[in-house]
Amino acid sequence: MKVSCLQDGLQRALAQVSRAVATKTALPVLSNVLLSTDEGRLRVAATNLEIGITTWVGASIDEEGKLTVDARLLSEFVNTLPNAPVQLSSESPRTILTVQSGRDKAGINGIDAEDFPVIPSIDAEAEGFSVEVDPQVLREMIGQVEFAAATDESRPVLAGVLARFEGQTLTLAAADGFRLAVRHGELTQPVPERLDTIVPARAMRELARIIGDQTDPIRIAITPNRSQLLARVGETEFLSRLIDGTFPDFRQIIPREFATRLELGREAFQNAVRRASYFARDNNDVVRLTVHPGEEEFMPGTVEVSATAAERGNSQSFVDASITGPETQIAFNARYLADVLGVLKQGQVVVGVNGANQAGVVKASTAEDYTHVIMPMVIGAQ
Amino acid sequence: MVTRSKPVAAAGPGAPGPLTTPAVAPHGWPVWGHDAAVETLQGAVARDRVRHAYLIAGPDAVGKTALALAFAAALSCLEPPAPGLACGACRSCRKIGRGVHPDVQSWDLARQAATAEKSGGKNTSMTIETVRELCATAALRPMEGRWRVVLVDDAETLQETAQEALLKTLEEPPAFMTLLLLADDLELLLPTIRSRCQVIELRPVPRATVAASLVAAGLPEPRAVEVAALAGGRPGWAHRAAADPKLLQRRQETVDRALAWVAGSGYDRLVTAVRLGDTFTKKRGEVFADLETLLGVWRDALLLHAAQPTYLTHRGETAERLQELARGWALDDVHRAVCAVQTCIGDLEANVRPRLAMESMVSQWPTTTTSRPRP
Repeated sequence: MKVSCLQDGLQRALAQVSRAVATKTALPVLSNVLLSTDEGRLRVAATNLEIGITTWVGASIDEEGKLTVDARLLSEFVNTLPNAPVQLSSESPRTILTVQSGRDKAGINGIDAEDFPVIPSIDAEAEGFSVEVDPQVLREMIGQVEFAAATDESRPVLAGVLARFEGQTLTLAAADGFRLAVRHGELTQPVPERLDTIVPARAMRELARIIGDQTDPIRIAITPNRSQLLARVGETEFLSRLIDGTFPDFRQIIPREFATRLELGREAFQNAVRRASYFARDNNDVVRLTVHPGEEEFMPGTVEVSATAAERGNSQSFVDASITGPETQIAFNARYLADVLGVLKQGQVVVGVNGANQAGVVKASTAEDYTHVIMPMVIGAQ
Repeated sequence: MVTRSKPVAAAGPGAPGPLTTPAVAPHGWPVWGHDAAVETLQGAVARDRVRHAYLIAGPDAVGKTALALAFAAALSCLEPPAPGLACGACRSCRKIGRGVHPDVQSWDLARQAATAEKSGGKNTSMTIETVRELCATAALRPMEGRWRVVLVDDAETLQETAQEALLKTLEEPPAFMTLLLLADDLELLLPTIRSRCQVIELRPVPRATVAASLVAAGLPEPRAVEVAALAGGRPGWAHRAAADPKLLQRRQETVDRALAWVAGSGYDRLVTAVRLGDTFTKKRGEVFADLETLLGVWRDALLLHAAQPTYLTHRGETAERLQELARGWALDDVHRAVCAVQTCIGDLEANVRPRLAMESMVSQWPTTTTSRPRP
């Protein structure tokens, strides 16, 4: 291999793929990056067998070839080089990469590219399942959903985010047994048949990070054997292995009607929850919502947000709300409330409850595309 | 339930070396002996009726890993020459051969040591953290092929909690996964683990087969026979020994030690027994290896006495020296000594005080003609 490219391009590419480099691994080749020549460009790829990131750097290629070298060492060395052309070369079958910039030179011991896992490319999968989606919509969708996925891995399906492609809609859903987040988004064109895939939540977060400020549509493809999801984001390709299994039917869990419905200002509610959460910390994060409807019909009511910790003290905050339905009381985990209020963008939120022991729903008052279900915490009689 | 700890140094037969990759046996897999096991697994691949979990059990270096990898290769081969066989040349086969196939993962003590959060531990048993990590990735669909093969080597060292953590994955792995548990000793695994796997027991391989595998790998015949005799039915050991003269030399040193012990006076024998007994807690594995060699030496004495030199483990000078010693003993005496060694090994496994077990053993050995009363 004999390649010449600019230092800043190479540095950016190495930083981009670094998130997919395995840190502690039984397979040494996974802590390496794959460098290969690809139709007049230098392809840089890394994978930890859960996600893979591939990106391309403009380069002038004198001799084709490929090799893997330690990702950290290469990027550390390249980062300190001046912004000038960098020559990368290796002489097959020797697996030493020579990196040269002016008088600075390094020989990095590598591993044969053959040992590197095969990372499918989105172009090669053109005949398979493929859709396009707006990048900023997708990024927002991921942000509103991924935190609800389970962090313990005892139920692998719940450690992932469901991505359902149906008609012209992409639905993302995540649940951990205590809460459920569902968000719908639009695809640029309809898909012929419904397809469910489960993507690890970690991989989803990584995809959102890669999307960043990207504005060009993102192409998403699923490999024909339904084993991997591929996403093309600008000059970068992202791969995630999919989780095998069936996601629980979340539509059954979402209550359609509410005995009591509150509509209140998101920021005021968020602040009230935050104040209560400091006291709730010592009491299993229990935050109590007591709903006081207005004295007369169409009069605004109030929601009392309170928390009590035997050792620490207690707090009450009141938030104005327009309330339909009878007076009620329900307790939620403060972190769950804070999480969902943090990802809603709209000024007004709707909270729907059906008594103290039924799931509550939080959503935006104006948009119907996001629904968040939280299971209540059991509170004793008071 | 006892969890046996195992030193990491006792690496599987997959250790690198020029002769460690056995040539392909007549049935088409690079596994020698174990024909019934190979037939079962080949049939499973050929008929596409692969079980979700197999438990391959047998002594160290008998061929468990070789069998498991041959099975993985046959399952994953991209261009199988015939159903149930692997081509050995495609990308998948090459990757499995080099141990870098992303869909053929091996979990063992060495991997645990390499990836453990806190290093410096003794790492003599597989922990629940390792198993949890395995289970967490179990649901991921294959990376390159149709199958994922998960090898759990050193399974006999799985702690009880680790075994329990494995149960759920073992019971219902995804459809594309087959789990291969490799264990030296079946009895050290929970019955709930055993009942969830198809058990494949590997027995020591006949000496002639081990020799044939060495010849097929390019070793000259007389030397192959010599190494095979020492291998104790373990092709993996034979191939390592053929590639590594140091291993043979170490083995000869162990034999010499055992012979000196047998040939010693009553007093010397007792001193050796006490010394070995005292080091048992620290060097458990080595003491067991010494006792196994000792058993081989006594067995040879028995064979020499019965004039059956064909089956001798040790030849040359060792055999001559033994022949000399055996002349002074009655057949009964030698037989009693063999039994005493076996009892001692059993006692030690059952946690009898090491010194006591050893002293009791040597007291049952016949006295040597050269032995003198204690001055």
